[in-house]
Amino acid sequence: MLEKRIIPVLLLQNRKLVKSINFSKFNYLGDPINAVKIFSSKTVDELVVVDINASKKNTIDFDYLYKIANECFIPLTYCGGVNDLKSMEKIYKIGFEKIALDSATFLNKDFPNEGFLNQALNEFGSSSIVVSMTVRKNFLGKYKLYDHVLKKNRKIDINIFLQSIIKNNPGEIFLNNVSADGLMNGYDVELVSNIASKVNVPLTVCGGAGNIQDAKNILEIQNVTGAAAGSIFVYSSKNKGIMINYPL
Amino acid sequence: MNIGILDYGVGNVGSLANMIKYINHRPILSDSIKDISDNDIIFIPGVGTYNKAMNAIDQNNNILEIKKYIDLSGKTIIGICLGMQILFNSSEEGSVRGMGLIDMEIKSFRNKGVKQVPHMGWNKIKNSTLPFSIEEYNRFYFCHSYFCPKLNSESIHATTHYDHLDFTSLIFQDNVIGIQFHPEKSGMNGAMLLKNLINHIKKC
Repeated sequence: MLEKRIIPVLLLQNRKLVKSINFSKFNYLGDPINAVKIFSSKTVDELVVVDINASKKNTIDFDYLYKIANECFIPLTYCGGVNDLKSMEKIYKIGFEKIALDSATFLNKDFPNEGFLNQALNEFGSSSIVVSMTVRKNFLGKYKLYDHVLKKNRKIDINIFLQSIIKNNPGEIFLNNVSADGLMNGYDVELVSNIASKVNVPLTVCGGAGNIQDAKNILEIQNVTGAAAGSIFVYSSKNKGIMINYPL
Repeated sequence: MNIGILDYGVGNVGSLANMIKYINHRPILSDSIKDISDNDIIFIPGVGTYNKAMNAIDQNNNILEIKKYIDLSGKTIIGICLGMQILFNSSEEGSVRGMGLIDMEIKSFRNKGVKQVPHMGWNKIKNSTLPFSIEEYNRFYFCHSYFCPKLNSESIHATTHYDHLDFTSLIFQDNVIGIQFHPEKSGMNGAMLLKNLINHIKKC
């Protein structure tokens, strides 16, 4: 039986490990390499590394990714600023199995632009490519795709986006909920259930986990194969004392 | 045992080299089989698509050199993930022929009606006829959309269950070994498996 995955997400900001609330208010936590070593030694199911400045700066810190991969004997996914095939090839070679392409990469004048996704899938195969769907509630409480560089919601409907993406068969959908990020109040079950009912690829959800039970519960939803989280793996509790841990 | 890794521009050479160093070997990397053919074992990694991998591996006369290499005594090829699949005759993933070292075709999970593709995550191997025990560390990382069907042959092998089917996750055909999962990314379990595998090859 294939096991469901519980996945720590590590945010990098200028080679520092940070944790956000709603994709802002970054709290400095420590040395990313140290965290990677700890998670690798605990054989976590998988590790997602997100460079939150890469898109803004339009650069990928390959040297640092190499240092991370060198310390890691478990599955690694990279996300941040990836928008060309050459960079992807380099990242795979460094030792990341999967690359997450952010939804903002495909948004062209508010319409999904699948060209780059298709190229990447043809070049590297679906198993190595994740589409990260970054969503945030608007003032009416409706979820929209969120562009973290422009810091604003895009108009496109998330269901239409999802449809256009999954028909290309990416390896995984990574649903990242900005509105729940860092609050530790639990995943948005309604959002997750809605997306889960529409996918035929592995679905990992992120944003809101307040404890390990939240992660286990969300994995009960059919088609949800991964529960990702930040806070619960870097804080000891809601009081946010820093403690790198994998409480399974 | 001396170990080489074929670095043909496809896949996660870095993590495989890293893991092999971790289990106390010094892997030699090259894009040409000829340059590393004095090693006892050559690993063929692979991430990507079938056609691309076959086209890439064909450079430097590698396919011919691999065939020559496995004809020598005391030499073993180990293909991992896509690196395993290209050892076969062909795949439903691509139009380019495989190396034909294992006489079977790689199939598509989707064509077999598997609901969630790829098969991604941690799974067990079973029905193992491996010459060493894996009981203590039977949990490995998989990530693939195509698979090797169950075997009819007597080859040493193991299977894994996903959705409604059992597929071959490990195969030994004489000195050609294929591993569908990623031992280099399966933490200490992967390290144990590779150690035991290398020890076994040493004894042969």
